[in-house]
Amino acid sequence: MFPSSKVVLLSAASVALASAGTAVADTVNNGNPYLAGDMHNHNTCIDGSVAAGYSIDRSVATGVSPTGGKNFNLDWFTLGNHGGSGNRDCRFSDASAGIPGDNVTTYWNDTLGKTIDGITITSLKGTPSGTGSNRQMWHWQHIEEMEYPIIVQRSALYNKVLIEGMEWVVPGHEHTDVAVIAGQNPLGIGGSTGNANNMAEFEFLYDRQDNDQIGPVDGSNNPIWTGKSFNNSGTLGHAKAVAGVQWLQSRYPLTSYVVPTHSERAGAFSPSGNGGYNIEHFRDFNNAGPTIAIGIESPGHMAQGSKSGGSGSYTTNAVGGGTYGLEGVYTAKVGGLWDGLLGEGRNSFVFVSSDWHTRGALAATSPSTNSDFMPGEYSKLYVPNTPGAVGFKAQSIVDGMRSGNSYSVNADMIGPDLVFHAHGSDGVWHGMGETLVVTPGDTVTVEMQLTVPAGNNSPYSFNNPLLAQVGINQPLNKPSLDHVDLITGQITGVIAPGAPGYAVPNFSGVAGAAVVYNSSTVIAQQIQASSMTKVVNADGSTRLSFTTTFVAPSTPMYIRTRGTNIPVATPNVTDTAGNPLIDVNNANVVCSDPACPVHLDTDGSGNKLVTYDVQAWSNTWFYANPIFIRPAGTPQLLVETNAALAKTLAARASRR
Amino acid sequence: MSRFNCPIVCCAAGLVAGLVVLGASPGRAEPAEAEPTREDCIAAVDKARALAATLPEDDLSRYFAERSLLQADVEAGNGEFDDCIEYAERATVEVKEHRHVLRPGETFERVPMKK
Repeated sequence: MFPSSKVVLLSAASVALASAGTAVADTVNNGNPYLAGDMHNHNTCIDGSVAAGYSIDRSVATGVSPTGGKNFNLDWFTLGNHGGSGNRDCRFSDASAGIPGDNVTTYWNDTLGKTIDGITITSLKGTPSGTGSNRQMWHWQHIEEMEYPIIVQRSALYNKVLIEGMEWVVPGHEHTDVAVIAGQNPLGIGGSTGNANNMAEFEFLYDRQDNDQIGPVDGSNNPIWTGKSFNNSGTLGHAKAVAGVQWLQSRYPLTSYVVPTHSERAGAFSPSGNGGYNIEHFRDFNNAGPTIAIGIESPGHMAQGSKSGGSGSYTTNAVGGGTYGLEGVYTAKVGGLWDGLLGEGRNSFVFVSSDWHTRGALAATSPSTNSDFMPGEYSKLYVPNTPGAVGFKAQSIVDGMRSGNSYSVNADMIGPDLVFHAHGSDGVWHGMGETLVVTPGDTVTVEMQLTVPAGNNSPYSFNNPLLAQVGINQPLNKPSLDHVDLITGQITGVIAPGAPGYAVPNFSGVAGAAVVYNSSTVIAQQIQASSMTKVVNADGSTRLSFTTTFVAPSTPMYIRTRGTNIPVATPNVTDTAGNPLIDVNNANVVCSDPACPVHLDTDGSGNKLVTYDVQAWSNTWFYANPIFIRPAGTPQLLVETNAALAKTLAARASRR
Repeated sequence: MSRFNCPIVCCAAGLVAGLVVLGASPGRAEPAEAEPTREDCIAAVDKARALAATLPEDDLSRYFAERSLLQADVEAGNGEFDDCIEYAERATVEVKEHRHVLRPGETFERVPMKK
């Protein structure tokens, strides 16, 4: 007997399927200049706690879930489960999630041959693995036969852009977000709803957790996907990973992306094991995939920060020894790894997602968590809206990510209408990811406009305990901005593989935070919110803006921005320059309000500490991608030539 | 409107110094550690579960520890043995440091444990 929620879901899916044929080209969105999404989240197919459909429902639906808990109304969603295999039927949530009506963990062994939610799994394909309740389904089969059909159902139900992606368990390395949208058409625009077979093939061939030796077979029982290597660790594994990027670049140069995620977590790269990423590995990926390997995703798991650290799921073994302002040190450090890549003029951009798995000790329906936020609850990745005849679609997301015209926000501290652009003497604005060509000595004007929303999804209305230290009373459910940093760095050109500086020594722990990859990077200006032009909107949100100028340089540079609610030199949070300290320090601060929740860690005296979700709601940041600037007459930057390559490939594709 | 000077001039010397440092020992990486196995994971979870069981059944830290161990089991079911061990370690620390306590008058809604 299956939980009663299955009946409800089946009904919803049936309605969705019935309406699929009437889907229109433009999908639901709110007309904002940027649309919010998430590309890294999990369900019970692998190691998440909730059903695949439930995860999508909570992420993109509006209002309140029928089984309890707020929905988060994302504009778009990419399902990003790990490669490998799983033993649970992901039409069902895990019992540990505590969802009414869906609270019995169900295994593939229980459901083979049964039609549930309109989907029938007749057999577990590929190399048999596990017995009884531990019988495994390989993830390529999840992708083709379970997750993609659910994507199709939910796409029609919500008329939003949903993508079947994955979190690649990378040979030799930590994980990487990947999606191949070629072949997917879940809204059925213009005909068939397509399939995710290209995504599945990549997973089978290149994921180090996928040890299936067979894959799908043809009518004669011969494997369809051939050429799989099992060199999955160390230097050989890295070579396989680069081959995987090349495979994607050669087949799907405009319809896929490759973005390493929580890339500090596993420490430095290990030549004989599976470790993290050093800068040379990002460079290798970008060289192999100039239009697809386009940056870094900062860690999710934002509510895991205990009194011994752990936010981002980072232990003290991570490069940097933990997170900094809920970011990895590669992106949080001024002059860090990201700045090293930007210092070459590479098309390397920063993204954020939830890495949603579980609420930890709390139920999935709870507004609190001591583990992960759901997609759309805390972290939002904004990509440009593409209204009009073409409409916003999966290609819009990939194009937006590739362009660099995107930004990443935690805790809704800014909204969907960021303006960050610059112009020279010609007065033509250039935005994030673009290159402004200037005459040295001219005036360059930078303008920034942003909206601080009236509220966020925090369940807590007590005052921010980190800000209380410096005499600021700011409820956790009311976003605030203290200042933004304008960060600049020099671009000195691409370093060739094997040349000095291409590979850089890297270290696990706090020693990794000391590595400087671009020493020219500085916080060039810090603009206090109190000094910005301010307009209070009718909905209670606040529109802030400022303009600043500087002298056009004689050599190439970039300018990027970040903002935070935390003032400079806030004890246990920021240093005297305003840089985030390692987040474990936040737990030195007591959460003393009577409403501070029970799930916070306590000290030896029973005082609650700023940990878990309270830490995340207290210490908030946003990051925007850079604008590149170079003098007229100098060679194009790699970001320009790679953008031109994408444009050429798009033109070629449109002629076919 | 505010102004700042082009940072390139003031930082050029720092950039040169940085490149020299970065070029000093290219390609160095740390020695490999052994990958945890399913057996390692099971042993770690069993040990942490036994430790949690030393606390009273209604102890809040025991509950938090056992929730971490549920996730450790999930990670094991998916072959993520490093994550499994990480969750077992969290459970161990939770019990040893007794990080969660209910003050008088406080309540906490527990999710029923899977048996």
